[in-house]
Amino acid sequence: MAYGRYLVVRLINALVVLIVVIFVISALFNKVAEDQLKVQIEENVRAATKDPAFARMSETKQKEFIENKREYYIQMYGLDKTYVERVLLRTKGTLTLNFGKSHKLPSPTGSKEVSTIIKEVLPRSILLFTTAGIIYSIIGILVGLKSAQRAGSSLDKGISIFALVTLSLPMWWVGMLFILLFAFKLHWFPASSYPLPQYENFFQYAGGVLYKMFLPLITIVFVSFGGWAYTSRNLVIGILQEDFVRVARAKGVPERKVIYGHVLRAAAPSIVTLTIFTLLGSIGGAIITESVFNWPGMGRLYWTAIQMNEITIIMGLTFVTVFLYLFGMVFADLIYGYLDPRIKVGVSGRM
Amino acid sequence: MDEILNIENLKAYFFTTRGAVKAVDDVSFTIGRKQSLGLAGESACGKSTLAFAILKMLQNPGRLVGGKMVVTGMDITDFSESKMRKEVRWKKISMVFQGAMNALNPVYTVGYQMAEPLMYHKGVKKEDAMEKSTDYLELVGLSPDILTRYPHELSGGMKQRVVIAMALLLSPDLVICDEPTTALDVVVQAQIMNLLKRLKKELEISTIFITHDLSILAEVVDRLAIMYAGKFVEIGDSIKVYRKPVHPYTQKLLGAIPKLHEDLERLEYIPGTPPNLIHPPSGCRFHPRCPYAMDICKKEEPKMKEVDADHFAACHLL
Amino acid sequence: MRWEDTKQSIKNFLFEFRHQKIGIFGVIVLAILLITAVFAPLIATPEAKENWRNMAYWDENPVNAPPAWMNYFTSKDMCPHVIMDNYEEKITDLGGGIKQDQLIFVYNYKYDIPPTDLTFKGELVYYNSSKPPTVNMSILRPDGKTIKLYSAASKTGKPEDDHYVAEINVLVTASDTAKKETYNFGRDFETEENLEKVLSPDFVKPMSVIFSKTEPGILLESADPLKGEYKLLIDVFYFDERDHTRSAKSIFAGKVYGLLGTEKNRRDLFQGIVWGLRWALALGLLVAVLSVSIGISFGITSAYLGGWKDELMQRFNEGVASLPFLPILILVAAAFKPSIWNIIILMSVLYWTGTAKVARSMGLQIKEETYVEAARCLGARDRRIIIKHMIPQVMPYAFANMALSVPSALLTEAGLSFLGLGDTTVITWGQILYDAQFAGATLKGLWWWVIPPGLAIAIVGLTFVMIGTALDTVLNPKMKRM
Repeated sequence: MAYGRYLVVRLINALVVLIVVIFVISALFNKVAEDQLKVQIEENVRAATKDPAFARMSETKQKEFIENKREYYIQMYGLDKTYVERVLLRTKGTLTLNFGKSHKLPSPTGSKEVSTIIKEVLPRSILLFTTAGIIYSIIGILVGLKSAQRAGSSLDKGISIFALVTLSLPMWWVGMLFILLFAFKLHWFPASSYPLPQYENFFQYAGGVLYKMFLPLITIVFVSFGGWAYTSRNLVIGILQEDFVRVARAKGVPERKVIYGHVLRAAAPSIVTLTIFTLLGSIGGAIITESVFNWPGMGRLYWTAIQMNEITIIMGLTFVTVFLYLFGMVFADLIYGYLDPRIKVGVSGRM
Repeated sequence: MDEILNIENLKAYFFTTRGAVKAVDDVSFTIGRKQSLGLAGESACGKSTLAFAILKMLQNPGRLVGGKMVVTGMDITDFSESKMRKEVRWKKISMVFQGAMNALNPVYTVGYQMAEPLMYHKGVKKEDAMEKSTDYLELVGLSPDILTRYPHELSGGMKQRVVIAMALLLSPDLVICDEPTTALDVVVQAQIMNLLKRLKKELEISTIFITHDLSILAEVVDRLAIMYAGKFVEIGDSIKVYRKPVHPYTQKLLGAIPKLHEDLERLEYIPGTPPNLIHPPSGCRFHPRCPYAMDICKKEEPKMKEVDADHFAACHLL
Repeated sequence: MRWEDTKQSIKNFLFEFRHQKIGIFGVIVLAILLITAVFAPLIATPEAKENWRNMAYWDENPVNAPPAWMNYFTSKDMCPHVIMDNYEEKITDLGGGIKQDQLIFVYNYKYDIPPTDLTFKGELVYYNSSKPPTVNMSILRPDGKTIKLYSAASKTGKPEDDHYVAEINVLVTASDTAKKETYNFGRDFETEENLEKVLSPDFVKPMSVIFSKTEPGILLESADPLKGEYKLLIDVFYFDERDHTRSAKSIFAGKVYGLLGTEKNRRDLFQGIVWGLRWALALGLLVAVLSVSIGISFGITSAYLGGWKDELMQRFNEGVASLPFLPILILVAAAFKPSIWNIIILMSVLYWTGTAKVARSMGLQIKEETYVEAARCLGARDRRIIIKHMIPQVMPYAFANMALSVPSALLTEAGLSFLGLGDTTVITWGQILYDAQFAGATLKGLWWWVIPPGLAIAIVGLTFVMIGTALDTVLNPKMKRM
């Protein structure tokens, strides 16, 4: 069936891009990552010399022992292989979520495995993102519809200007302003979202998390909804000019039904996919915003990893974002195909 | 003869940053029951604007700035939007849109879109509305099973038939056909024209036929109006206008139609371009392109004069 | 296109553009920004740019001082920053080879909130290595009372020719003498009750005592300010004829400073903002021009070539477009610490995909037009056709797109800088915000450190957005793009 085929093609496309990107990243950052490995090997070797047996060895024996250990680890990590092999190995490792170990930074549970560290922060980022995404897309669509209906009115002009302004604002800077206003000046919300409350019961926990999440949440919503309203407005205005809308009006369909029926339904495929795109597009700004609020998600991990120069963690994070991004796009395409009866190429293919 | 539509001195302007575009400027005419009026002119002379003005559905920045409209004895000039929707649109006057390709919403089934007028005007339930739509589909020569199809699954000709069936659904008094065949290929064009001719005979409706292609009008309309730069320049019995056009513009327009069986030495064309409707030429709007232009044409606007029984034209030559 | 047509279309364009109020406004703001950037050396000081990361350069400024215009908005007047190098000098021979060199700095205090600190700086030149001079510092208040602030022999100086130079740098807030003396001074006027609250001299703020009236509350910063003429007296005792004082100055560290205040490292934020503007404009414009040029060339070439080459180029475009740029830039920046030029190039090679897509679809249309066909039939070479016939048609779109891509370039660089990954050899607004975040400026309420840099980013971004949307509306009235 057409839809099934469409789905498979999109997935394969994304997969190919993913593999290529990971390969390129592995090739480019091979040296940086290997430097980290070498440090680790030296640490392992040093740890091995703590063995009491080592102290009893003669000096030559000791040297030999160290050499052997070093060789052993070099082989174990595959550093003796050719460059191409090493890159391929790294690509494979990354694709199987094996990002290696961090240098110093442990996860809260003490693991130094990069995939574990990321796994712990990822859900929190997703929670913040999707909540914000849902809120601002709903507000945005409603506001956008209203301003499209009254194109040229002061509401419409206001929304357009607001959108243009927020478009040029760094989201994380707005976060800083909100901290100044709501945390420093008014003391309404905490400036730092970290640490999240302990789990006692669901309501206490949910309430606590919401309280700590509130500032980052309104920051994302505030900066994003204007642009999104503007996008929906333009989309809706485009559809309002379509003949079928005139036909619907001429047929005597009530205005409310024209807008929320014909127009919104016709805009739905684009609106839903664009919501996902906007959400994906704001990943960059939002991860920095997270670090402003100390929200213990990927953004804060990014910040700490950069301050501590933890390249393996940054690479792991990059991979995870690329992965989320690519499959977010596929997901958007699939929804588009599902909502639009004329299944075709999907939006991302045409944008 | 009872009047279905009576329009007096209608004016519809578009207010743009560069000034008011006088798309329809002081137009008057009437249509009787079962009568059909052809409305012809070059592109952008205000034909479609006139159609939408009648339904009071001008798009921004368009406004009705003057005139009077009476539909089946009802003065709709001051009707509110909701009154127009409930009492006039589709019930009294329906429309077959230009570019049928886009007249159907791509995300709804054909059936739903056909059922809508019945649902909103008569409060009919969806299922019953679908039922009734079937009859009309048959009337335009389509099989009922396309009710569940989406518009993109239909060919251009089929879509146009759906749009026509939809226009007839509430048995309106007047159907406005705005370039009903423009986007179709020649064979389908002929089929649609035949369908319209047949419907005109079978059903007791009046029609307004808008087209820039005079050649297809002759057989379908009883009366013919020629529009130039927002004004009617000639109107009358279609045979009279065709056979004995009196306005130079009409003559040129008819001369521009290639005729079969005639020696095609030279196809006539009208020199110059249609005028700017923000600052239309003074006097007779056609004078810059008119081969017979005189001094008075630049100064004074010609009035409609009766040249024959039911044959009027606005030209200083007469 | 013929020349007349071009002229006509430019005329039409200007006519339409004049109706775009937002666009006109944008152009005016851009002009102001460009002028500011060009004349930055006149508006700000070039040394400030050179020494942005040399903290010693800034040590005469106050720490975390809000902008001076804050005084218009507060009921209490805060004293501005004053550096004085004009003083009265009185030399008295005390006999026995001892010479008293008295420097008198006159400070007119008429504010409600005292300076945050009082510094004396100078170089003491002496000839007898075993006898470094002694420095006393005290202040004579308008009410005739004197408070001793500092007293000590200077440190051994650095040898210079046949003499020694001792650098002296006294901060009243860091002087134990000042603490003790101000406590003793204020104690006499304080109530029993208040004295109980002051547990030890360490709790006393010397600056507040110096500039308060002798009334209860003097130790607790609650007494009224004592306004009038203060005299800062520096007495240096030398033990040689030839000994003398040079480059002396005193600094009454302001509660407020300059147009935009200072930050934790005493740097003048106004300098940072002005010099940051140059990089913001350069970066935004360069990335915009480069990325749009790449995009247009790519899209047009793809459209012109057609067939499998077009298909391949489109796949490549989609591949690049489906990447999240910021994380990738973060990775590159973290691993290689690139210079700002490399960041510009890197952003340009990532940001062209959208433009390329539109350019391609426009190219496909243009390709079908008769004059391109004609050129091809006449045997024109591909490259010539592309350059001569297709690129000029796409140019208007390119300009709109350039303007619209400046903000995202700015935001990306700011984001990188904010994470501490910027090029540290230049001043950018993102880096100022990074410093602010690092120092916890938001938690301390140092709004003047946080608001201006971000606002500056927003203003530059908005300027281009305004111009871009206006261009877009004029050039593509039908095209409703996002």
